[in-house]
Amino acid sequence: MTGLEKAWILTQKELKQFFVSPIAYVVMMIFLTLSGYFFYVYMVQFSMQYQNYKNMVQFYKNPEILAQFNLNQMVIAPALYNMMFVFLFILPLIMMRSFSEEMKQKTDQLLITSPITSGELIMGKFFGSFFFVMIMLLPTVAYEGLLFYFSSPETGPIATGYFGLMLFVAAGISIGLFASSLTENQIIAAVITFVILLFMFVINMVTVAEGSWVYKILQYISVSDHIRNPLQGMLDTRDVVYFGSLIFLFLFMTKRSLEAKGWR
Amino acid sequence: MIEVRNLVKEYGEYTAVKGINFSVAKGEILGFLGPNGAGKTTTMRMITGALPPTAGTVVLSGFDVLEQPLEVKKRIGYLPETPPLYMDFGVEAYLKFVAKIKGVEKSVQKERLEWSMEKCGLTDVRNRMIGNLSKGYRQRVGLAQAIINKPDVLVLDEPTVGLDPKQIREIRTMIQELSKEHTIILSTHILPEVTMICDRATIIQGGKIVKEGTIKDLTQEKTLEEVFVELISREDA
Repeated sequence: MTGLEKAWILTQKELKQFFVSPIAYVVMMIFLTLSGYFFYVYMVQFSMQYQNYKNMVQFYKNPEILAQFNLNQMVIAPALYNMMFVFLFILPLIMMRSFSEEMKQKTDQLLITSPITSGELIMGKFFGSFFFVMIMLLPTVAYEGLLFYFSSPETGPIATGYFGLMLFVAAGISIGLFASSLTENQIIAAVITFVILLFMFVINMVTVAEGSWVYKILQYISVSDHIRNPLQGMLDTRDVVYFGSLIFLFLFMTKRSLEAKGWR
Repeated sequence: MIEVRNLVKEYGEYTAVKGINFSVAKGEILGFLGPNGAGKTTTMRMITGALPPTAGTVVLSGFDVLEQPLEVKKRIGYLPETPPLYMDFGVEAYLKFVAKIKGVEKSVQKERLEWSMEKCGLTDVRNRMIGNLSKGYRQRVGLAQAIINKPDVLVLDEPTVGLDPKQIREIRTMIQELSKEHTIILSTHILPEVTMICDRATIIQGGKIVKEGTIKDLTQEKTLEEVFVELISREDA
């Protein structure tokens, strides 16, 4: 059996565990309710502003004003941005179970005495959680579908927006895996994940002289600067590299944390 | 089959296992005896590769547990003190997962699944959720999980603890039956159990082996209980 096959067995098991536990459905409900709510709010704002602008066009007799109107900029980008914030709160809830529950229920004893490596286990768990979030994200595509039905938004920015969201989710999952590998207490695991994620957002808020090297480093570390581009429709390799290295770093730290517990 | 050499486990200042040596031959049942905290579980976990030893080594079927852990793990079945069960899985689904993860060949998976469930008397509860099973049944699922890959060596940590007398008897018969094909190490507090099912016994106390031998030799003059209590109290004094 190859490593990939073993990881896939674990991925299937993870996914199954998500769907047999009530947490998955609660989290899904929270996510879809909130993201639907945000989408609705931006939609209503958009149509109200659109009415105002239409009146202005008549008043100034200048049809150019309406050209500033962009569905992607005014509805999709902010809706995706808010979805990301919802993830900031629910990713810790999704991930807190991961290793902590195995340790608490002693099922880690089964995994550690099975012929699998820590790398295969981490990969299995990572993709299990990732696919779960993707399944959760799938229904939100209906919102965009609705826009396509009534209007004609650009496809490109939507695609990059979702891609950015996926990168963020993957990074959050690897942080969550690391946190839950540290403790058998799920609450502590969730808090650690949340704090790391939140910190990654606000780290560039410290006031340091703009242009100094500290400033540059903080800007680079901060998630907010790297998520903005893809959500607004710009795909930059620098952002992809940033998220890639974040994912790699935390998966690597997870491996180290497992090795400290006797895994190989 | 199993060679344990100079096994040491230190937790910071505290030494749980202080250089243990023993070997188990193929088809043998070794009883591992000792008071609480003697280092039984720690030793067993080191044999299965669940815990890295501070020093020493374990060789199982010719594979070193430190150098080729995956080869060792392929050949081992382990029932820890707390059976490692996913409470929200059905019995059959759980065992299927274990079979896959232990690398049981796809072609024989189904057959093994039926075999292990039948051996452990689980066929009637195959679709029940593990979380809803009684303690005795959970223990059986734990045992089924340990034997599903037909391992060379079975390591059972207090397999009969918390079971009612009838279940204890069933598990004992099961272990004896399994010893035809497997080498078994089992730990227990229940001394008559050892006399009944084991070929040999190793008594450990404070992380060291204080006595070992075949059941026959050990019980020649006194009962095993007398031997045990004598050894334990001598160490205390």
